[in-house]
Amino acid sequence: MATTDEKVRTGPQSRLPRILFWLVAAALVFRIVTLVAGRGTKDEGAAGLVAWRPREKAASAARSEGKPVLYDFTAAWCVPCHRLDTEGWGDSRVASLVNGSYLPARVVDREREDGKNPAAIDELQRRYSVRAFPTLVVADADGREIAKLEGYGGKEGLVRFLEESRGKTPAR
Amino acid sequence: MIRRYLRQKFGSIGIVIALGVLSLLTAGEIAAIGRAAVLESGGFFALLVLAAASVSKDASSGALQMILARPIRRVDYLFGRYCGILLAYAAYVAATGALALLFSPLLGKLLGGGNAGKLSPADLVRGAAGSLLSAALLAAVLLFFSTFLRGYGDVLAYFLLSLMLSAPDVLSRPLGMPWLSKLGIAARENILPRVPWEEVLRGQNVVSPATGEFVLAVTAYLTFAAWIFSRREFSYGHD
Repeated sequence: MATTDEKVRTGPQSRLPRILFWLVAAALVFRIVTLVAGRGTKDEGAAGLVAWRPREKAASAARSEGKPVLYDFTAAWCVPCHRLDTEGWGDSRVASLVNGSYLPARVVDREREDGKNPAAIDELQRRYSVRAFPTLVVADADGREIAKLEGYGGKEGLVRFLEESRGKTPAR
Repeated sequence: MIRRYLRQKFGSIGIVIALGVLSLLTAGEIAAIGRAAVLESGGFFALLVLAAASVSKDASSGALQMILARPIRRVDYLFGRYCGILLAYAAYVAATGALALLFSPLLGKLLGGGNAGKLSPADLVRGAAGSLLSAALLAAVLLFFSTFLRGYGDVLAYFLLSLMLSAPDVLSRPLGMPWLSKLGIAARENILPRVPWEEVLRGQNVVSPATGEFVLAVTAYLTFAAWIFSRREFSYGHD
């Protein structure tokens, strides 16, 4: 056995099993499949300059990153939602505020288009009593509501809501 | 190799005490708030205890050189350590879950309101499975770093990596560059991905970008670890 760290080993003991390469190939294929499958939900993360997270990831990251989740309940047919997307989420000051203080996640309602929503979206709408679009909900890592804003009344109101909700804790 | 790892870890009284204390604290928290998802965050420190310096310690003590003098493949040793870490962690999670179930009615009476005492076994099983799956990634990361860093450098490297991946997100605001945040998130999601196991184990979003990132990351860390470990030369007495 050699005694230096510089030498590189070769030989039967160092040979990597072929199955490892097959596993890597399978993992790559699975990654591509999930990428393709995830494209269908791309509209959930495509508004403005905000770094939207997939819904499920935002909730799970809230604890580790110590930030509240900001849910944007929106719908494709909702005109004020489009205003919010361009004026609000498209503004670099708002985007910086959101990206720095929250874990933003979009919840796109598909009831009009598809007849019903996926169960996870229905559950979120029920939990936060969403009755109109857009609705913004700030929730803590345990899913407790911290603040809520219904409708879009302009950029200043949005900034005020986002700044005020930052330091709040959920009502017990 | 697995048995050797288990003997090594559970043969140390300090590690057993540390795991016992962590288990009691986590079980108490689970029972008090009635949510098994805490197992995932609570298990983090237990996994650090179990996985830290898993290869580097053997290398620095000279034990690794003795093991590799036998006609075994290096990957057998490496993956034996990995399976050992996960087995030990599974035992820890099972013990914590059992303690939480035991504490649940007790804390329910003591605390009265809230979710105390409302822990469901199904939720607990899902929480335990999620915790174990998350541990598969962290153990792979630590094992990877342990193949080429000395002592507890693997733990330090993990924390540094986490910090580095969070930095773009934190810096994007004062610098007024939202794209930096997007870049940081993309990097973090691919290098240290997080999966909402609670949802996935309920059958939702099983084939999602998060699970794809997770599977690829675990495989990549283990493959790189095996590649580095199989090509390194270890000297006696120090790493």
